[in-house]
Amino acid sequence: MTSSREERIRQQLQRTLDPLELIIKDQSQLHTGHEGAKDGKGHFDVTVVSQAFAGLNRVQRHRIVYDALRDLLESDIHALRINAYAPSER
Amino acid sequence: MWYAVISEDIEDSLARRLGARAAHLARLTALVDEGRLLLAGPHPAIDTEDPGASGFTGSLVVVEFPSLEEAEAWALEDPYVAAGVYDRVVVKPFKKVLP
Repeated sequence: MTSSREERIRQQLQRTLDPLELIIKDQSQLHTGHEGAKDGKGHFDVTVVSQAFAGLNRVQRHRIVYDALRDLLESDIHALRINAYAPSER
Repeated sequence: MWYAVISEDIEDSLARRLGARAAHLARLTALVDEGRLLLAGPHPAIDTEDPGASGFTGSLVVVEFPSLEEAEAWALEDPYVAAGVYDRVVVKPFKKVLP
């Protein structure tokens, strides 16, 4: 269940952002019992390095990631911590 | 300490604002309950408190966090970011002097 969620996030980010680096951490276990965990959705920490972020500010980068995961935010993701870098920043 | 979260909207953000407003406000009221919100509100696009269809050009929120890093992370997780309301967000440490 948890790994398939992570896999869905991975596939969608791979497809839309063509990342040079992609790290997804499922941190749902850190939030068990917490108010936001009651809906059964997970907490994830995502680090993405992609040329798509070049020249964009952090809000614009976050929006691209949210757009790429739009349907999963409805079904699988309760909270998302995003670290988005352009290749030149790594 | 306090942090000022200064957000600027995209052009014509009103419809997106209305769509995400409930989730946006829920986060803020949770902070009110914890005594961590000094003030919050939008900037009307025209010189009146009720700008109607003209909408808003951004928001100002002054909120308490243990660090700038945590304040920035919170600001970027605002539903208005995911909804495409905000185009730019600046977070600055804030020292309350008056009143």
